Amino acid sequence: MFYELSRLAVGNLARARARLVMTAGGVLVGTTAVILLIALTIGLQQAAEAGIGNNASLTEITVYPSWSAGPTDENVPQLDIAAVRAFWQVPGVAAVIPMVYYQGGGELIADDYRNYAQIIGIDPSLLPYLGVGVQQGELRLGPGEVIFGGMVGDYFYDPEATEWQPINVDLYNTPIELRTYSYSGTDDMTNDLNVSGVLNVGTSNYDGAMLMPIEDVIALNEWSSGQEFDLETFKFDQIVVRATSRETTNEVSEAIRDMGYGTGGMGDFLNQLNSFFGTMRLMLGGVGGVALLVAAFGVANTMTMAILERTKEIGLMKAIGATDRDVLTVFLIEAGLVGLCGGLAGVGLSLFLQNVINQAILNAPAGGEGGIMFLPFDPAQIGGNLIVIPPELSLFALALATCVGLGAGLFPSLRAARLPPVIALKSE
Amino acid sequence: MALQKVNSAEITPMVSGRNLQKMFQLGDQWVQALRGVDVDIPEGQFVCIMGPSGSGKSTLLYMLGGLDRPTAGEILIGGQRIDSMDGEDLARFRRDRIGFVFQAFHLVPTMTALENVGLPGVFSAMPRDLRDRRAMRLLNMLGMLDRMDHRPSQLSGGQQQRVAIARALFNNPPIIMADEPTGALDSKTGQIVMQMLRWLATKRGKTVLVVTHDPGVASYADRMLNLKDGHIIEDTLPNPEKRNHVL
Repeated sequence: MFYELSRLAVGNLARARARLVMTAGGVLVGTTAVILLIALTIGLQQAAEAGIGNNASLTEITVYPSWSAGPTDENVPQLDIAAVRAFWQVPGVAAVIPMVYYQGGGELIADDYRNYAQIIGIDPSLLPYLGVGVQQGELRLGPGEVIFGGMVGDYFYDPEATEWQPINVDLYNTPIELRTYSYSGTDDMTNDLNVSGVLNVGTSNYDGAMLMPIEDVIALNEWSSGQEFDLETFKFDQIVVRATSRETTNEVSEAIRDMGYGTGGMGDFLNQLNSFFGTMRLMLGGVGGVALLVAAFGVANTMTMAILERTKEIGLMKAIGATDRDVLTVFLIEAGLVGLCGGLAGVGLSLFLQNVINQAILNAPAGGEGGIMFLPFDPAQIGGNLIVIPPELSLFALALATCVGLGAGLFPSLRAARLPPVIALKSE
Repeated sequence: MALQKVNSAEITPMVSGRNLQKMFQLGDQWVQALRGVDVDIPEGQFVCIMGPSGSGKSTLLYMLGGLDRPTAGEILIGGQRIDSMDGEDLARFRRDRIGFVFQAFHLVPTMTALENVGLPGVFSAMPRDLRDRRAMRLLNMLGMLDRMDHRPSQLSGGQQQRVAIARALFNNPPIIMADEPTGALDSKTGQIVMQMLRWLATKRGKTVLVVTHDPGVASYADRMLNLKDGHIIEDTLPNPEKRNHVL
């Protein structure tokens, strides 16, 4: 039955081709607008994600004490050993990495050159969870050993020079000394450093840092401040939590926030980014939706006209045995097909424009003068994929266009279905 | 011509109307189109319904055919009450029991003759090849097979009405109802159409109801109902021997 009625509807459409083309044309424009605008946000989002970099940073959560209460408030959860133990219990956590910073002054000495580095103490067994790799040596921290951040060696200077000029020092192959000063400034000591490795550049927060075993840094702090270390009251300077996967990062982050801490990190940033692009997608999709809405009025108008024109035909169909539902079905199929045709053409046009635009962007001179100024990235970096149309988007747009046709045709079709046959037959 | 009161209820009538009334609202006035009509039509009878315009003759026809509902009264077709049927049942009833023929033919202008004849089959979900075969047989019966691929605009009025009759016969209904079937035709083609309807009654046992105001048409009928102001004022057998007249 449905098949027979569909054939009838297709036949009806095929007979008014010019009108079909024009009405579907409106849907085509609307569908294309929706697809391209959403595809643009997808392209921009992928570009932004590509800019964030490696996966390691996406599973990293930096925990800090909540800032909603004053720092002296005793009820505010602190980054103490209890916190570390609690974080380990959170599902989806791969590692909890507490860190201690050296609080006094420290100077690196390589022959005649000097530099400063932030000294960070870390549990050597947790090094693999730090999400870092080495460019020289090994990722290993034995007692008394240190690992340098990737950019520490680039910024040594000559204290005798009249003009500051960065000097490059090969930290791995040059004897380095560390001179530390006590808190009061009355005491200092100098130690030879045993360098086990140098980290890669740019993949971590440790480019300008020097990693040491956490016990060594605690010892340095005790010497520098003259105060005894007490694990139960000690507050870590930073706790980094590593989630097992990118997907669980958000949940872990949320669980930690529920415990009263603040969290940060690329994962959180990514979530913000995603929600930003989600909003952007809704807004731009809405703009395209307006075009589709205009098209819907076109479909509604066409269907209303068609039904006025074919009132006698409707009466005739009823006289020879069509039920109200048959008439409704025929006209709804017609309206849905107008939407579907427009949608198909829209998907086709969008895919074509996707190629044209992406090619144009790839071939345009990147950045700088004459480049594409509005792009916050080099198009070549993402293979020119500014417009990204995933198959789901095409399917969604097709379904949307069909629904627009059906929705716009519903009211006129209902009117047609409810026409009393006698009145329809006698209409002029 | 002897006028004779007809006792048409000897056997169970094919078409039966009881105290049929119909009210219309015309502007802010109520018009009574039918004021209590009683009628019984036996199977195979060729009935001509006549009367001046506004007499209610078309209203009566459409009501008996299930296209319109009475304001009051009962309609039985083949012993089945149709005035209380819901819309869907009524549509199925029309599809299976009644073949309509109209003055303006009401062919779908964008379909060929063959497609027009087969259109009722669409609403009974008949497969296309079966539909086409049956439509061809009917067109052949009415001498229109060579025009089956023509659209209505390529056919003369008489040919269009023959296509419309073929369509009315598509589901092999026991009743044919025609509203001014010759009204848009010249007298010669009008006669051909009437002969066809006469033939359907005589040879195929169809019950035929024709609304007309052409007295010439009435000469084909077994029986004539004359309506005026919503009443049957005359019920006669103008030509009883026509019952067996074959064209």
